[in-house]
Amino acid sequence: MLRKLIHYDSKVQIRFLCGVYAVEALLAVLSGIFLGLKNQFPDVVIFVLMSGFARAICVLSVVVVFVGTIIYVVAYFRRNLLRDEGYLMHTLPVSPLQLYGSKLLTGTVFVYLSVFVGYLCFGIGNLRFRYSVLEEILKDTADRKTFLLMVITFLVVVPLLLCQFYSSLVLGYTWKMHSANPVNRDLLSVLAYIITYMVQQALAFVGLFGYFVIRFGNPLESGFLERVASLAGKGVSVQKEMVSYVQGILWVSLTLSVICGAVLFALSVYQLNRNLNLE
Amino acid sequence: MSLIKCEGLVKKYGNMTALSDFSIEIPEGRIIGILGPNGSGKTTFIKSLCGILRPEAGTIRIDGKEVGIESKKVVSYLPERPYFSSAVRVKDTLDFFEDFYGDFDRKTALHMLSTLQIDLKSKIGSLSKGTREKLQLVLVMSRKAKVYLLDEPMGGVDPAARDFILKTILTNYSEDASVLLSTHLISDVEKVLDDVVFIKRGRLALHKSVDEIRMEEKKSVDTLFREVFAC
Repeated sequence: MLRKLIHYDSKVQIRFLCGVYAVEALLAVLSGIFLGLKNQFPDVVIFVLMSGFARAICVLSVVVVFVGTIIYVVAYFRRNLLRDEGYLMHTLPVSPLQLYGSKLLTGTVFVYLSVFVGYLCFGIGNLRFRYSVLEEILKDTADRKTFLLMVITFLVVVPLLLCQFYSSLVLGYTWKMHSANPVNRDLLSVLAYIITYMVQQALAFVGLFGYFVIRFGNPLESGFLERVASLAGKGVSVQKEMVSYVQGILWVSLTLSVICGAVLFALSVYQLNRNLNLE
Repeated sequence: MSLIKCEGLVKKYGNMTALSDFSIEIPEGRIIGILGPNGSGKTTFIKSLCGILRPEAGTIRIDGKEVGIESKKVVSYLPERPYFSSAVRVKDTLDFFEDFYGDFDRKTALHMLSTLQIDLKSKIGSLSKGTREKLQLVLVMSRKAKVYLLDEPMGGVDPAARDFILKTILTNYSEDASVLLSTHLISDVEKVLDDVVFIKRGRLALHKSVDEIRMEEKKSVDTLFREVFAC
């Protein structure tokens, strides 16, 4: 059944997103054409102006499509599970885990896809796909490891971000009312988002502080600054020490993202299972 | 064994009680009218049966199963509102039901849609409100379910469409299934009902067969309803 849900969710969302990606690609091609013309005829003012304008629009479209995809998949989740379409979805012989899981999986894939399409369009619009900064990073083993960790962190952060939005909506829409006058469910969802966000920030602070203490010892004890300085003076270069420190932070944020995502996922499925109230 | 068995259902919206210690048993092979004034708890009861509302207390068993995946396999639910996205086509809705419900009979649905002259290629958004309601009813009644829950299936449609809806219900439900029908249009549905359930302020006020009401009370269901719920 999960496979069928994924198929259905993908089909509905791709109909809209395909159109958006097509417009993005068209703008990228236009930008590429004008850039090519500008390179060919650098003295023609109209090509110089049009190239600058088209590139700006191309870059803007990449950002808009990325942010727009996140907004669209979150709006789709709300519409499909918590509004009128929920009357159909929640009466299907499937579990809330499958309903939520399918939305999370397809939403994540579409956000990744928007990044991939954005990369391609950016390349087409600028007539190049190789970036020297990236090549420099990939040459060095330590930098390559950090870059890889950053990519993995991004891949994990996307579903976590969606989990945050989805879970806030679920919490807002399953919030128990203690008054006969109904409160706007979307406002409750915003409140739930603020609360979950603050809890996550507090956890991130504790996690990073804990990492700092493990790495450099208790900052309240005497000789803390000397300990930090001595690490740099042990024959290891400061740059390598910094790289190792950044990698440590990435590992901490990666672990916290996985934990927070899992908790939000479990909480949402529990709420959909036990406290669903489509009014 | 009862097809539906509810015991001690309680559902509150804030400090307003929608269902209060509500218990009922419904056998198979009956068409039951769930009747009551606005806000009496009819929709809450139906939503609880299909699992889109969770009561605070009480138990529900449908065909011996608690409300969940297994019970949803045998329950066909028609809500009082349209639930398909306006962007999808009629054919997509048929594909959807065929994919998710093993008991969906595509041939029956296609036959009814052709009778209604609903084009499979039409987008839901282009259909009138009445046609959308008919489409949903066609889909719901094309399942070979054990329980049909129809919440206000005739609200907002013309008398000719009401006749179609009643005919569809009568011709498509099987002998071992039961149909629960909530409505205000009692005089329209009275002729097809086997039993009636009156709900008053979230409590079961009456559960009798239509024949019993006619024999014992010497009244029509409509008249009895007006007496019980007189303002």
